[in-house]
Amino acid sequence: CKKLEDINHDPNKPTTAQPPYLLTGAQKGAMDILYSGLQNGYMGMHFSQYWSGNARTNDSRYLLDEGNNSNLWNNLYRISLHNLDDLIKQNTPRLSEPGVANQNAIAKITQAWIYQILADAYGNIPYTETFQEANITPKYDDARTVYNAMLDNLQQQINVLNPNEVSFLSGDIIYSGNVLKWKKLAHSLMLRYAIRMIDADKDKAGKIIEAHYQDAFSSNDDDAQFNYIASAPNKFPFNNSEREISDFFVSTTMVDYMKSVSDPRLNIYAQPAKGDTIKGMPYGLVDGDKSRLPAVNYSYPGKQIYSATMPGILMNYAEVEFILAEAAARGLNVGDAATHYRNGITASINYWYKLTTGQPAPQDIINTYLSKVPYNAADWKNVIGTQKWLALYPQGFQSWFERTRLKFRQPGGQPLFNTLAYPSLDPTVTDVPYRLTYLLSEQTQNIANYQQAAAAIGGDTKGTKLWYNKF
Amino acid sequence: AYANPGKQLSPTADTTVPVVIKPAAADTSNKPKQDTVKPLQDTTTRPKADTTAKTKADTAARPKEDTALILPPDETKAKSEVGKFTINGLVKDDKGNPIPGAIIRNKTAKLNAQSGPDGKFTIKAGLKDTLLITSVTFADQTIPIEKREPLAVTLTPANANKKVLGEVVVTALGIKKNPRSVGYALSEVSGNAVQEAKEVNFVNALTGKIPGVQISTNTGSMGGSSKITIRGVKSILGDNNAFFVLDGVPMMNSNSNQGGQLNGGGGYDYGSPLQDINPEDIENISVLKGAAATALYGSRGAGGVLLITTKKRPDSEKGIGVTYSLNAQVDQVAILPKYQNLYGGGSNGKFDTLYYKKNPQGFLNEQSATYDDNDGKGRYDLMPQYSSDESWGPRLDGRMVRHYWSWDKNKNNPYFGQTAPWEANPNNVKDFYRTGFTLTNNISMAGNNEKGGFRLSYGNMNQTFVLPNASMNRNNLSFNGNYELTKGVRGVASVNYSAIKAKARPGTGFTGPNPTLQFTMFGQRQLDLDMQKRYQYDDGSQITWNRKSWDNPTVSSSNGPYYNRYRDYETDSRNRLFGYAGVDVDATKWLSFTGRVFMDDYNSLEEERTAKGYTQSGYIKRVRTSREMNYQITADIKKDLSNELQLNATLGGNLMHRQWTVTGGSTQGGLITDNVYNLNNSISPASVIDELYEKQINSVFATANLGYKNMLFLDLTARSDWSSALSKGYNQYFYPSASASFVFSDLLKDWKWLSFGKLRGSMAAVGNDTDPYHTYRVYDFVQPFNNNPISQYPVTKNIPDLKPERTTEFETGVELKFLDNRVGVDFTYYNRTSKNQIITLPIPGATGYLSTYANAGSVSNKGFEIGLNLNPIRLKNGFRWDINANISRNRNKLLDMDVLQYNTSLPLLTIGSDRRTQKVSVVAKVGEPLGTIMGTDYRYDANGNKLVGANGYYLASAIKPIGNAYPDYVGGITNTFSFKGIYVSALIDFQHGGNFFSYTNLYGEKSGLLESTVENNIRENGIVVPGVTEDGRPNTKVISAKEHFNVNGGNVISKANLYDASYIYLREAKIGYNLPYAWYKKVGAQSARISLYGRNLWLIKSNAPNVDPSNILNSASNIQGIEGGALPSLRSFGINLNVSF
Repeated sequence: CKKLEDINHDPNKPTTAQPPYLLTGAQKGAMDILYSGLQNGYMGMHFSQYWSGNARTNDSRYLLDEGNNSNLWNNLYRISLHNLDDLIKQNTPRLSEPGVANQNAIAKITQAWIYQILADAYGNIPYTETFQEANITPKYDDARTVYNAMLDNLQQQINVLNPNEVSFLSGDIIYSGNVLKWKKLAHSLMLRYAIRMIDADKDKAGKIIEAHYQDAFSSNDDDAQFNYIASAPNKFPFNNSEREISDFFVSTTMVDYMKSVSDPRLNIYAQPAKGDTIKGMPYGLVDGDKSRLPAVNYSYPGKQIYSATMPGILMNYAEVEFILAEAAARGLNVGDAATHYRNGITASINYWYKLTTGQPAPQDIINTYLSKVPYNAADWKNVIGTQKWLALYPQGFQSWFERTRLKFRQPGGQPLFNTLAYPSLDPTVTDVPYRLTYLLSEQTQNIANYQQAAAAIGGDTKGTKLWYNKF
Repeated sequence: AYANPGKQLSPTADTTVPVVIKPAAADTSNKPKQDTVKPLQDTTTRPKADTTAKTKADTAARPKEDTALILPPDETKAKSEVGKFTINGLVKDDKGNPIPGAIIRNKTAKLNAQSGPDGKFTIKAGLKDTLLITSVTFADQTIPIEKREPLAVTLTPANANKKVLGEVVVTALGIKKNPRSVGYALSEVSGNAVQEAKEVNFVNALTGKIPGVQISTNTGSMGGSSKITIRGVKSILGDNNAFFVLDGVPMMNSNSNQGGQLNGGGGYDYGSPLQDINPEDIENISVLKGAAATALYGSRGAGGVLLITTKKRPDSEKGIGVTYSLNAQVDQVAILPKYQNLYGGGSNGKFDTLYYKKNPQGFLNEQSATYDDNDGKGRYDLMPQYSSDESWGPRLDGRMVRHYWSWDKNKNNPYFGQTAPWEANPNNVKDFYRTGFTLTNNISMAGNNEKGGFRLSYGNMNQTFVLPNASMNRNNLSFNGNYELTKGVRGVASVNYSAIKAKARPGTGFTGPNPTLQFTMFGQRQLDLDMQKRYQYDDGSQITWNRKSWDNPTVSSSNGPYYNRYRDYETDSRNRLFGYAGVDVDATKWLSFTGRVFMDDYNSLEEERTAKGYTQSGYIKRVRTSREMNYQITADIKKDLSNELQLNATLGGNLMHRQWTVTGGSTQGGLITDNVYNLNNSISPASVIDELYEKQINSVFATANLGYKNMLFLDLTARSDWSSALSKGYNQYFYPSASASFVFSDLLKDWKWLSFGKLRGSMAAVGNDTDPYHTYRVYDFVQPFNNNPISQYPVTKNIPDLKPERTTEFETGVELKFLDNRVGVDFTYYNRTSKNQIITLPIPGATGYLSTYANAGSVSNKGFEIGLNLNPIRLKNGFRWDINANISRNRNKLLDMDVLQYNTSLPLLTIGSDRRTQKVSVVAKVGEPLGTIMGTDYRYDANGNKLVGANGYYLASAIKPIGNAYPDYVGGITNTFSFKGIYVSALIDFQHGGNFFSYTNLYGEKSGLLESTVENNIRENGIVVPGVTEDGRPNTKVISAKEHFNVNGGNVISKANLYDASYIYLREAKIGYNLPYAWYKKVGAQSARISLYGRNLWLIKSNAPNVDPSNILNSASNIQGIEGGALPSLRSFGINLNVSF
């Protein structure tokens, strides 16, 4: 007979967790939510007008399922950031042991990736008071503060990372513990941070980009991505092995532009509809509209996007090149804008060819395409913006952040994004949301901090611009 | 005291009166002078019939020796006396009128006699013979002959033929008390309440019958959960369900439903394990409501206690008696939403077209194509929009179209190429539900002699449910016995076995297996049910109306309803063994000991199957086991301290140990081979469920009852628990209680109009612990990624310093009977405060958790309960009319939301949110009642006009309180008429107040299925919603009907689909008849009765459209007020036959 106080020992659960287990959980947790159909599909891919809803069209008109919104926030904080925080705290007392410092640096770089997504999606977010034992009402930090802290953090990790020592021997799905690759990712993420804030703090952004551009990704081999496998429950979250997916059509926004420039990626981004033609649906067209054709007439997203082994992209080389193209176009000392622009396009096309065929794209296909979308320094914002937008597919969230930041149009100035086919169901949004609203639960669980944050950013609506949205 | 007015014998005898709740006002004025046959002081043995002779003078007399506890029998009184003698007697009714023509049968000697016009009779008898006195319209009485003295028999005028209880009530720990001595409200219900008008789960039959008790259920869910709330919601997040104790055995009643099922999400409602109990075995249910009544149960009694006493005694006094009962019942769907039948499936009012020239393979031949517009495109057919899961399609005008079943030539479809009219099928939902049938058989056998007795019972229930493929069956076997081992030492034992099996329960909430998802929340109205019965081809592939397109038969988003019923179904079963064994020892005249071991052990198997359809195929299996053991020792003291002062006391200790497990798994990545439901048939390795829980509570307790002149009583109890679930230093808690009662009418004998009066009052404090394993930090296992293990934190944070929660309650009440017991009133007021509640507090995700365990919040519950008994008519010819009514009101309030462990205070706490819109939450808000419903409202201008935006849509407010889930008043009224062996009764129950948010209405309108979507030509003309724009001008913007229900409904404005939950219901009606003796005496039967009944007969009044507000429960959780696609409620009719031999 056990003593009374021994009975309450939980035989079902461990009280310890190894750092590699926590890292895998953090990486997979973030990727699973960032590429889920409900989050990426109905928010990211919608707001960047890659896709439009089939039967469910309220989301296309910005009446979101708030459960999807809260899962995005909660999974990033509760699973990924919490795991990383725990990993770092566990490792801190034994930093002198081999590889432990590298492990913490990798965990902190992963934090930087996630905190930026939260700050870009919501604005001010809890950062300094997260994961505190006794605090159940974490305050919100200014998004600019988070940016600065994360840039400092990335710089520190670049200094800490030591390629002569091991890091994670297992558990790192993204780079298998390759310290040099993580270092490159840290440089690249600094570029992503910097370009996004460039209109708000050009000096600081410019210095960062100039200081780090040479150490960032230099080929598709550097890409940071989470390689899902074909076996449940470790498949790409939005895949058609569970059911044939018909939730989304590709939008005319993407299809019509890609057709107009004979984009070789169109057949990968979308699949043919009736009559073997790729046809987009006007963004936001509701299913009750008389002009809407039977579903067979519109194209679904391409099979690769539904594949169980589609990688979850954290950041790729093409994005780095487009960041540098823009930096150069803005006059920073990072090389030639046109070269970076062409490198970005080339990297993107090669990425998709390699993913779908196993081979890079034939050079003539790339050359033909480059000739159709020439760089134009006078129109850099539209030219670079449009191509970066195409290269970011299917990173819905990153693409949406870029759309609202850069406000680009088609090369030449024609509008790229459609106006809504039906009125927005969010009275604060006419064109596209600038941010997601805070979780409804924050209004009950963390009300004082919520109210303060809402006031600080200028109102908790989807129409409120972020601190770096200057246009 | 709990007898019906005008009845000398306890109303438990009155099995014909459907309202078996013993009305609070009780009649103790007719107590016998001496209980010559006193029941054993054995909690497992029923007191013997209190039927000894009385004289008219007795009716005014108060018992002299009645103390709080029922005394052991006085053996000296029953010395055997050999030889027969003639015994004289008088039969009269409770008003003293002689009853002529009563049959007096000496069962031992097999002699009969009949009373004369003056009620007198003479019969031969010997000591220990048993007389049975029967007369139509009166309850039978069995009288053992104890003395050679004239008998005066008083018959209770209510046609019963069951045994009669002595006037005792069963209180905590099974201690039987004189009702006079009870200082808190207590309701008793006889087994008949749950036997005659049957419910598979007996608890549901108590609806409306007990003051202060609210029973919520969902009859359409086949054995689904029943929520029993006594005196309102006390625990903010606990389930607040009452605790059930059967003959001292604590019965596990926690349901095993999965998280999402609780708040309107998908899942199966596996119901309450309580339905394992065979209603036929129940003799009596004692309802303990307040803290003083339940303090001896410790924390488990916090939600109130239902004490069930099973039948022990034989129906004959000696030898072996056999009782057989048969019950047959039909169930029909009673309340369905009002559907529209003008428009069929589709999204934009259009048909799709298919031209022969382009797709000749879709036609039998060119001529079979129906239409030709002579535009050169050739002949074509019209096609509904199969993939559209809503009914915003073309008007049902009879045009010939290609229905979904006219394709798939390659599957040898005999209907290929055929067309049929586009027309309404108004009954396609109603006809889906078949007539349910339930047959219950029960046979019991019981016997006793001087040394002991036994009862053996077997019951079988077979239910064919209203849903196709759904069925349930239950077998019960029970035995109990007691035997005097040596003088003063008695052994007792009880063994009960139940086996319950269910197949194809409906899913609940927003999920595929819930038929309402396909019929009400989504779907196409024109579908022909007969064609849908063809749900698969020979190769097993599905035929669904919701195909992707004419040439793609795969499911777009909805399986067909029959495919769901026959291919996607669950099964579950539970085997349960419960009972006790023990010994009672009389040590001295004033001291006795009892020892008991109680066991409740069950294992259940749940299997959920998903055939390949909309989603991949899959299989989930869960095996649950649970074993609870209680070891209890008590010492009982009974001593007369003086002539006028009696003491009864009990000291005891209890050790409760419970261990439960869940094992099983679920397939990953789909099934390898269709239709093989085994965890090995999993494409990726199946994920494993493996959980074990253990908990122990050690307790000591004591109770003492002092009685003065059988008029004034004081009752004290104390209990202390040590719980394994709390950390050392916090794990001990103490429960004191005190109650007093004063039968003041004893001092007011001159007040002739006052038949009885008693004042009572009590105070108590109770504590509560929590489930195991909440006190230290752990990680969750997550399925590894490839070979990489994954760890992450659980959703809820454990904390070490959880303290027990504390409740204090004050209660007072009065029982009054007036005018010769024609009017009886029982009034109770209570005031209860629960502090430091152990809750799972939702916290921001940025803390790393979504919730934490904590002690937080104080809740007060105040309320009153009134029981009323009226007897407006009682005639000399035996006709009488009785009214039993009860009403109760509970007002609760969250006093504060102070969180102990985090040193903070919150303005409100979210109890649960709806799964889909996430806008509607049930919350506890400081200063307001629990169950506040929050959501969005319309916005209004200063004049109260609704504000409309420029686009013609209503503007939605921020989230704010819009209603409350709990009612203001609940109650019921039963009218009973009895006359010459026939009685008729009807129960009406009601709820006033309370709101609920309705998915049925929200989605039924959004999807164009409900009648409201075609009213006022809204589809043809659109709608200009009444309201003004923000600049004050009337709205003139026309919007389409589809847009209207999409953007002006509960999806955006929660208030639009929030409804009043008030109702008035004709819940139960019964007609019973005691068959005349002559009819059955030839088969050797001693009594026979037959009754017809109906349940859930008529929703007389409701303010909520399309749903039955009394039938919206999702689960027995605390998240009420969110209707997540309620199953239709059922109406039942049945016949019940009961024969005793």
